[in-house]
Amino acid sequence: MKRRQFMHLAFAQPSRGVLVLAADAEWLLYAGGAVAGMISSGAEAHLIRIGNDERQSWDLQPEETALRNRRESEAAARILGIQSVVSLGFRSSELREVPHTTMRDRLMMHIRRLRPGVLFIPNPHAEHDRNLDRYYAGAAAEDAWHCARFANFLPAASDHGLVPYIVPEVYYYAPPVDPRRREPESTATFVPQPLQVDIGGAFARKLEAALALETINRDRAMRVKQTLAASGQRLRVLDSVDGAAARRIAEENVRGLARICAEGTPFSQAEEFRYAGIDFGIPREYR
Amino acid sequence: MAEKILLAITAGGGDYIMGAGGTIAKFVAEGYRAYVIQAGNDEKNSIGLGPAETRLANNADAEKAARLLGVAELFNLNNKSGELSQLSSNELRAQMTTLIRHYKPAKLFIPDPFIHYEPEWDQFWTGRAAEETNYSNAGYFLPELAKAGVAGHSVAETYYYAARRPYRPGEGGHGSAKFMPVDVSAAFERKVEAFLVLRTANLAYATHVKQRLEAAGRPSRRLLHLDAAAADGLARARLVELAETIGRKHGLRFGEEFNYHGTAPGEKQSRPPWISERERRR
Repeated sequence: MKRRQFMHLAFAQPSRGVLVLAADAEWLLYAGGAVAGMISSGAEAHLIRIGNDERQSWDLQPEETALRNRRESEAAARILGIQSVVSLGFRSSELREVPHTTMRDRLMMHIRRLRPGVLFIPNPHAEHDRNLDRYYAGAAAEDAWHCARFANFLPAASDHGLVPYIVPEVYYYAPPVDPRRREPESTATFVPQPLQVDIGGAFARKLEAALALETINRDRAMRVKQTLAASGQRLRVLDSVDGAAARRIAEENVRGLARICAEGTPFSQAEEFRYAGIDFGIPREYR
Repeated sequence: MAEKILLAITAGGGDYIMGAGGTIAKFVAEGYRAYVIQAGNDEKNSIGLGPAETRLANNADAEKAARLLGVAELFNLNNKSGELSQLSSNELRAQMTTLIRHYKPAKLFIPDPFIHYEPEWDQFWTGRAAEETNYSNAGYFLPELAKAGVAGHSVAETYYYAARRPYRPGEGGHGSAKFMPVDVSAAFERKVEAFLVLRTANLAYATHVKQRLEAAGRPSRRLLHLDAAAADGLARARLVELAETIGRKHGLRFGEEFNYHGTAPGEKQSRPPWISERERRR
């Protein structure tokens, strides 16, 4: 009891670290450039994979899909410069079945363990993203960020040195499909603000990492081909979906996303976020 | 005409005060009898206290705050705060429904489960269950209550509130709903007075703000010595900025805003066209 009474004095200082919480391997399409940029500036980055990506392949069984996507995610992370990858192993496309508190508490442990200065989380408030794993993972991640500051969450962990911790900066990431994603909603005191980040300097690295996701890239190419065929169309490059064709589609996708996110900015390649920094939740006159 | 009773549903002891306290105080001044249902036991929100002590301290603070606001009774469901997602949504809805049938409010205030960027997810779980009471208040839900003589009750007016933020532009007021700003300038000091009584939670908030500012290399002189006065000053500044930000949108000094569903006393209830059409045929 005595130890807990003084727990607030043991508030941990933030590291220069970056922690990425990801529902699936495609997180790097939406935040990989910004993370690579921070790593280039000296940050140490870590990745927590929440889902096991066992569904995203073409003509492969779940076990093999999960194994390949894990290896390729780890390879992509290495290309970005990420130092460690932890795979929680929850079944992808079934994250809604994982209790919110179970997922949240696992994430909270890693937040307290790594004490990042910057946290990247899937945006559970983004609309029109059809991948609901990102909603459930984002909800748990946002809650983990909030709850990690209170000693009465995971008290046993506190006793083992994983003391309460507040991540100072949070980047919410999402596919740029929500038409209202750039509206501020309110002031920075109350709502994380829209932010476009220039990824021009990190784009080549992001692209290289995205191309390492070979299983997912082949799946995407096959889906594009199938969708086109359903409406009587074809892309010549996809007549035979080999490695080169899959890479070409993946590259177009990465370049297109960077272009969309850069619209209306002075940047040629960008990523879009909602950003919660020192302004969020602190009255203006105290900042 | 329904009795002048209002009921506010809240996740923690302070959330309804922050989001709707001025409006509730205003209605109390107009003769409404106010009740509060608190979903969570507030066992997490403190600095330096274990869960049991935190719960006792926060609940005592919340009782005092409710009294200052003019609330006749605060009923705490005592579910575990921070773990409300673990509770069956049906169960939480049934708990709320039972009490709505008991209090028979004309006005109901609930956390809006649709707002964005509320990092404390108990707001969402509470709001989601509370919103469903709109239909679970009818007699065909919980028939055992009807058997025990607790009949269904329809609430005439529902106010959705966002506990810690203004609504985003264009949000609310869709379909039959109205987006409703309320001028709380006259009741604002009462809201502040009630909120400042939440000493345990306010000290936790102040500690976290101090830690964040210091970690960012921007310490605030006003939080150097973290005592009750410093925590009060910060809590007041937070309420003022929220009320002013909302007020500015609506040309008010201090405001609160709601997504409002219902029919106010004396107003004729609008009927769906197919109902009116059937009546004409008779």
